[in-house]
Amino acid sequence: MNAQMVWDQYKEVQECFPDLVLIPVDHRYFIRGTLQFRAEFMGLEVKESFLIEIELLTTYPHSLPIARELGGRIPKGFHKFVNGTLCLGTPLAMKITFSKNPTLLGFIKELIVPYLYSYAHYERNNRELPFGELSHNGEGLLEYYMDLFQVSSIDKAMQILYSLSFEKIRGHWPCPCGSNLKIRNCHGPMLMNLYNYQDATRFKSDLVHCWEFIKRK
Amino acid sequence: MTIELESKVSSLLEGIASRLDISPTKYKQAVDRYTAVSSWIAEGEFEGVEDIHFYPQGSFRLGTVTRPIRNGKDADYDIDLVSEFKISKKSITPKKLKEVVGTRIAEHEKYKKMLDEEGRRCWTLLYAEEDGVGFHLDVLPATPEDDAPLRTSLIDSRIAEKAIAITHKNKDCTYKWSSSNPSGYGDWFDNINKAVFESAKSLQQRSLFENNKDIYASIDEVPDALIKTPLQRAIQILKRHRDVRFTNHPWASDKPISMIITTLAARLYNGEPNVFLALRNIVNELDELSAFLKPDYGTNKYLYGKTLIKRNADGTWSIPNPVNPNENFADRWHENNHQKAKAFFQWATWVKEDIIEIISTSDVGKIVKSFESSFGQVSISAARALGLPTSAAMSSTPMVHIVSPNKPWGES
Repeated sequence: MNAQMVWDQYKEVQECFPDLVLIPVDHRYFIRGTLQFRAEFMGLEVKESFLIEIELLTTYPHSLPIARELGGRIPKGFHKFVNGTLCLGTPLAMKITFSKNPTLLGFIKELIVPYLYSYAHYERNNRELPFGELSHNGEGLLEYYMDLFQVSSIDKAMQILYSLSFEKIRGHWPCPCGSNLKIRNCHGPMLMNLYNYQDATRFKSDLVHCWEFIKRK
Repeated sequence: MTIELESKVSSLLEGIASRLDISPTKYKQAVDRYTAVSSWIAEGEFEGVEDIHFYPQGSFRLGTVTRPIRNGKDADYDIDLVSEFKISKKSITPKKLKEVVGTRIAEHEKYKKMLDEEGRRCWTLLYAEEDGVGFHLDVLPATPEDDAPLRTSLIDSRIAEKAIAITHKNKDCTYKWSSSNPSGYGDWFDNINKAVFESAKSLQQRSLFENNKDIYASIDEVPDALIKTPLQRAIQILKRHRDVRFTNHPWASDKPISMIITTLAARLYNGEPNVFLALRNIVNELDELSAFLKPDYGTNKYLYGKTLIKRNADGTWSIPNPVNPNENFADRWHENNHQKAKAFFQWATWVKEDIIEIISTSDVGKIVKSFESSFGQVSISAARALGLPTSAAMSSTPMVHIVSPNKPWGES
């Protein structure tokens, strides 16, 4: 991790969110404080503030920042990981979103703010989430992949995930989604692009998670 | 900037510096510790030695102690204690002198356990204190310097005669003498500081006494070392800012040394009455000298006649020790493609951005935030004490338009 880069990115954050303070600890960094924002989705605006902490590991920006809510406002049962950090989306979704603006400010605006917006909406509107939610664990992953691949059956999603996991994607092969088209004319370009965000090993571990869910069902 | 904002900012900086300061209790503890070590060494039997003088050097002597941080956490204070043996340096070898001092310290059962590995120039005692904030006490064996150059140089003879010879252990475990003049440097510093010292004392002595009646029986017992002039405050701020900004930085090992910061700040100080004005002057001057890094520095008229930092014909750098022209604090600045020089001027730019230019925004909330990142959270309480807003209840809460949000997921 390059300290100058962190500092420069932090300065950008500070312009927007002056209550967030950068704290170097050992070889990591924390950005902590009150995140005050207004956010708008489909014409519905909220003004909110949350006490948050963002942790940058030494591998940042290759690894994504980790986010926590410190005010105790978001309960355990909401979308969080076991260790209490905020689950801002599936790992792949987070990486894709982060890559659009891979800076601290981008992370806050594209990932943290929508999550908090979503929670604030949930609190006010009788547990309804404005842009939906995923189930936890393998089930949620499967929902995400069905959505991402735009397929309607679990089998098709699993077929595609299998192809990704074992790098079985050749342009002239039939597409694993069952469309009878060649991969290159169907899911090919989109699937190849996904390797920019995570490699086959990660897809394989997602595949295993999804499989465990299916088995239990 | 309005006068009102200027004075608020100055109090804010003052508050930050006072939190970097050593507390009166801690200061007393430090003095007790090194006085005890001094007495222990003084009571030893040293052949042919009639007298030994003990005195602190560095930030303890200069009143610029800054609470150190290592890896972002508060760390122990460093104290340098000179033990000057009043004998001719010709009558003893540096190896022998270092040895007798080390042996004497180790004769004390408690000190023996606290003794760290032998340092290049000193013996270090590690004090762990009950409040979690310890000391590293460096004991430097020394004799008076009786070599000619220091005494015949252009320096005021009263300062020059305070020069000492200190021992230096080489990598191959041989020893040599080297020269130093910490006491003379202290006098030089005091001379600049004294112009504003009395007025600072009249303002601070009373409150130090009132707030620490458990330590001082009368106002006269408040040590002068705890009185801080705007120059001393400015140096504390500069040192802390350096420590914070170079934390985890790839150039951390090239960060400016305290002696350079202290020397340049003192030479640039013009008796400014508050810490903000002192800093602004120091920082603007330093930043302008960064022209030395440009390839055309040799023809830059502005740099002619600048004596603070000099560049020699061969490109090397020079910042002379004001009490020993033969000592160059910047003797390693040219190494690795001028890495230390670059780190220094980068830092000068940072100070300017973080402390001085932020003020032109005239937005007290922003200023406090910038100071928080530059000095750590010490400034938050300082700001509260001043009644400054610490949360940005600013009109311009940023607006985020959510376009393609992720669905939250979870793992359990």
